[in-house]
Amino acid sequence: MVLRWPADFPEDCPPEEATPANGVYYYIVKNNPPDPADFLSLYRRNRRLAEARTRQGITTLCQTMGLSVLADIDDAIYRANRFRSIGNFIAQLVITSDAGLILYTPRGNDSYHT
Amino acid sequence: MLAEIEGILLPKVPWGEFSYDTILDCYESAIIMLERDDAGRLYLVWWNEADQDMEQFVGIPLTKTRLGAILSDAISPLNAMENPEDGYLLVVDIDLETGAAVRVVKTTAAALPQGTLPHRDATLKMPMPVSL
Repeated sequence: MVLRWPADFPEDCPPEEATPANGVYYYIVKNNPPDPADFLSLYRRNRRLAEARTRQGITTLCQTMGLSVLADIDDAIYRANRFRSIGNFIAQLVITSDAGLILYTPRGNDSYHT
Repeated sequence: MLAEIEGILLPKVPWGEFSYDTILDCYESAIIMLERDDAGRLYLVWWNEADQDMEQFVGIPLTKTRLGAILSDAISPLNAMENPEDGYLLVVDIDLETGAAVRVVKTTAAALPQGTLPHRDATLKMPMPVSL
């Protein structure tokens, strides 16, 4: 399968080290059941905010174009409890390689992936 | 549109521009960080919400001792916001385009919309940042 990326992705995005997605991940959503809008990347939801976080050096533009998922459900629960406005529900995603690429992008020593 | 939090309007952010030097946690846009004012006063700054133009943070002025209590899970973040040492919180609205503070309010947790404060079970257990 050939994966194609949107034309506005930066040239080196996804990065070379990203691998085909496979596995179970957890993702914080606002709606139960999840709505398609829940699965928009930060860049698609709020481009200015994505660009601000990139300017601040907190993330990269490429990362804002991906979805933030966690391999450990406890990490998802911690985040959902800390930041209630991002969502109160946790979706379990069973991801296969046709969903795209994934990369371990930890914040500290957690299970954060993009 | 961001909620306009009631309180006493302040002319500027006590810690000036955000340094983003000490990030304690982040998830996409949401971040928790530490800032300091010119007098060395610490602020635990907690992202609250954003719209397409602005984002909003809650700043808790606190001592290193109180920060240690939060990071060791002796005090929950919600408790720290509901019972701040100095009796107040700061709510700071930031323009996403310029990064400038457009509204700074001295207030209390009671003025914040329900559902935006950290959950009662939320923790921020982690080691004290080495920079402190």
